Amino acid sequence: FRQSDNGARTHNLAKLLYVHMLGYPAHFGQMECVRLIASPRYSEKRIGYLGAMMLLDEKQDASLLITNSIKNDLSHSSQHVQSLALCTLACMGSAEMCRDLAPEIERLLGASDSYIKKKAILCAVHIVRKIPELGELYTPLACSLLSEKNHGVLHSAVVLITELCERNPDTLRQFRKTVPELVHIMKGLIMSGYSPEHNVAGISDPFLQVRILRLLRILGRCNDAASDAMNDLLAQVATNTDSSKTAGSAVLYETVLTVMDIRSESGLRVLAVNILGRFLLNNDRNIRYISMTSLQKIVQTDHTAVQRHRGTIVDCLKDQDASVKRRALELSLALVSATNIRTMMKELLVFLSTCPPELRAHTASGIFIAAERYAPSQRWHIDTILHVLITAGGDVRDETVPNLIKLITTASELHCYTVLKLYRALITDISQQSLVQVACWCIGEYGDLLLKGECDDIEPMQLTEDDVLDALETVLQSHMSSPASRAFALTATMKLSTRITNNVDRIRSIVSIYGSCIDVELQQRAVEYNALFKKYDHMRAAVLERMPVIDKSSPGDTLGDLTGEVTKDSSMSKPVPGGSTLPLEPASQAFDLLDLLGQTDTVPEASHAESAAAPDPAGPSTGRDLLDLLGGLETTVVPSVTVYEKGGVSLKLQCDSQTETAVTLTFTACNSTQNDITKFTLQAAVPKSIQLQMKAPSGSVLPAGGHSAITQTVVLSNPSKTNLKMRVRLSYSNQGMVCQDTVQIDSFPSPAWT
Amino acid sequence: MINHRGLHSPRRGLTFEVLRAVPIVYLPRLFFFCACSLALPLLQIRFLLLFSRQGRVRLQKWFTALSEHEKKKVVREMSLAVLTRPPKACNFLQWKDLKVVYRRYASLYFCCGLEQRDNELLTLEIIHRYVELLDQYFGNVCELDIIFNFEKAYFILDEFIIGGEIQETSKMCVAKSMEEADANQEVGHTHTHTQHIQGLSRGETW
Repeated sequence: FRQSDNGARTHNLAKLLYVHMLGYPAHFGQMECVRLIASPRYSEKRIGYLGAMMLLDEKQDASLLITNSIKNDLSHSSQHVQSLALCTLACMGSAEMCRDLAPEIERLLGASDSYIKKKAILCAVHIVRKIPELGELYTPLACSLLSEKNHGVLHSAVVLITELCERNPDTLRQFRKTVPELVHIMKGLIMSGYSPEHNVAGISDPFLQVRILRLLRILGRCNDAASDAMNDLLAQVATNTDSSKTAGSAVLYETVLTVMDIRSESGLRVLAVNILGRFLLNNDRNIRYISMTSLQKIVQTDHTAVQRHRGTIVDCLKDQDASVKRRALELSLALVSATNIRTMMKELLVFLSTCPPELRAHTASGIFIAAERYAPSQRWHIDTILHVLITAGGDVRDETVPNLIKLITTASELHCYTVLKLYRALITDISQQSLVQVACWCIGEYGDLLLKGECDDIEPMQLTEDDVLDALETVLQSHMSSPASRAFALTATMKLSTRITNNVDRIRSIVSIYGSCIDVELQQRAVEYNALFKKYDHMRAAVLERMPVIDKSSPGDTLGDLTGEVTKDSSMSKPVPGGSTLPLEPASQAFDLLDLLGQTDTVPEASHAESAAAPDPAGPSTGRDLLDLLGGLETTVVPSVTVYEKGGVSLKLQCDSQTETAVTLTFTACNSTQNDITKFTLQAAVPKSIQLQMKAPSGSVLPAGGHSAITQTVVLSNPSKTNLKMRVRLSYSNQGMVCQDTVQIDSFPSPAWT
Repeated sequence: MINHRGLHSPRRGLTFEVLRAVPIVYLPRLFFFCACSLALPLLQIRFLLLFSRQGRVRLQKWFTALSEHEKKKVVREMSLAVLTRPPKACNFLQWKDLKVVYRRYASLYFCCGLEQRDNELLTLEIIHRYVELLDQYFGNVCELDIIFNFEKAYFILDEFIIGGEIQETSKMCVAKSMEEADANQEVGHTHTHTQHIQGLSRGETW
């Protein structure tokens, strides 16, 4: 590059670009690009601009250097040079460049040559995307552009109008007037005969058609008049378009999306759903995927219409393709209802056993939600959950276990049935942790029912106590069991000591072995249970009684840290290893604890409190949790400081969180005057060592009488930990008068929690 | 026309070149990666990538500002995601918050990244139109054409799509403007263009 040999410069730069494409660093070519762009020769400009688009982007500083070249080239005599400049600007123009060159683009929009016009329009689109305010500059011209004949210009014009309408609701209202014109253009496209220039597989210019449909969608949204004007057209497009090729399907798809979005009449909606149904039966996977995606969007509103296609959707679950399967799964889950729950669940369970691993967790949770909502009977519900646990126990979420346990305790007549089934599942396979945990819990609770061995609904099994204890010991000793499962098994073994009569010694020996286990949780429990045997034997029966039915409405059942494992030994206060002193006093103390927790329902940590209030807190491990909960149950009132109050407008400051180097603050502005205050804005300034980032405010209008407030979040990052100081300027307009005020904030409120 | 023979690796054997010289449009699937990403969540193509079955990038066009590091990451992840798809699979993927539309043409994958609200079927058509334009320009285009004349491929793309949007829906217009632009190029370069075409035809008779 250092050589100034003109002929080779383009070659060298091109070679550099190729190297760059292969992935090697090429930033030293940026200056060369700038130089080539400035050269008068067209071929050099071409390569220079290409290099600029590849190597420079708006984040690089060097991009500003080409602004001037672009400006000059925009007024060049040759339209090809102009087009190069426009293309580059549209591709990588930064906000500053756009701002500088916006008037030039406006001038070009009025140019007569369609080649330049279409490029200028797309450039304008880019500018509007970067700087929405400049949209006002182009709005007047955009209307007139719709009367162009050239498809390229027309297409770009539609894009520009779409962009303007999406950014600004006022412009949207303005452009609603153009709906008849758009309808006319569209009709022309559909009705026109074969035009070799624009034809794609029998459809006349599908790109333009899709674009116009999209614009119509935006214009017709939430507006009855515009929607009415489009109804005929949409019906015509829907019926006349040939969908055997992708182009036609693309147009139909866009039509369907438009019909769904605007206020269309019901006949049209039915037509659209039928089109989607037709797509579903299509052999082409892409089209099936598309139709399922769109059906997903409308399943909430047009539920019955989509139900008609349920059979096809469920068939798609068996498709080979992973994307199609995913869509079919989501749609199937959305289509489950009280009437079809049994058949759907069968299909879903089959799917679960064959589905790819990444979809398993989603399927399992979907099945659970559906089962919970529509379960026809409790037994069916339990069966379904068991089936899921057996097939995909590893992929279910953690709260499934306590949920299932809750369900089981409520279905009291099914205890025998449930425990037999779980026992059978346990002895076949102990690798699914959630299943193991539930099974252990049930065996512990209902071990006597298990040993009785009789049950109506299921074939009886003759079990001895040894069999049951063997099963539990296998779980305890298996390397596949997680610590949580082991804990479940240990406690279950303990509970069985009251349910069975012969092998109490065996239980005692198991428990004492684990007294020296490495896992602290297990050891702790084993020690406690040992103590239960030795010192408090008289209370053992009472302690290990059946659990009460868990209150189903308690939210967020995190009963202690080991998922739902609680025993009724609150009557003893065991010594807490870890030092917190729960006095070794009889039940009254612990019950006080319970009462205290029971009454703190209203506090945000209520979920912990409630679930602990129903069954008694498990031993010191959860006792410790309770103490922590108590520690966290302080009032969470966030202090806020009023920093400005004048003329009825007040500004409060509240500190949301504070870390070592960053503080998040929220400003809340309130208006207690009689009049609405508009255009309320906040500006803030901080010392140089602090960085300020203001998020978007929630609004700019403060209604009168303090009904609602505007909030704005500000993040200050303070790496050098200097004293925080801030100056805030408010400006607002009240009854036409613009007011501005500045306030300095030197002291910040402490955060709600440290 | 820039001669890239110097960059052509001498290690490549005969059979490999013959494979690559097979015209693209004759084979049913060409992988076309178009991905377009824009920071603003509105309708747009975000980027367009072309790469070979070995994962070598042949063309990349970004319509958003990403850092070099991010671009590389996207390219790598995209190629992995698409190259592992089975041949008869659906042409649409969901990747992070983007929709990805891809198509395979001979040995090249053409991949597009779209916003959530974009019409995927139309993007397939866009990809096909681009391939047709390349075919029209190069005459039975193949991967070698795109390797050796990558800047032409870019120029054609720039005549077809600006800022992520189509600017010209008529094939004839795009072809015409390319011809005119080429005619504008100074004489020294057109000479190497003809040289290259001769070289290609030699390659095809192998």
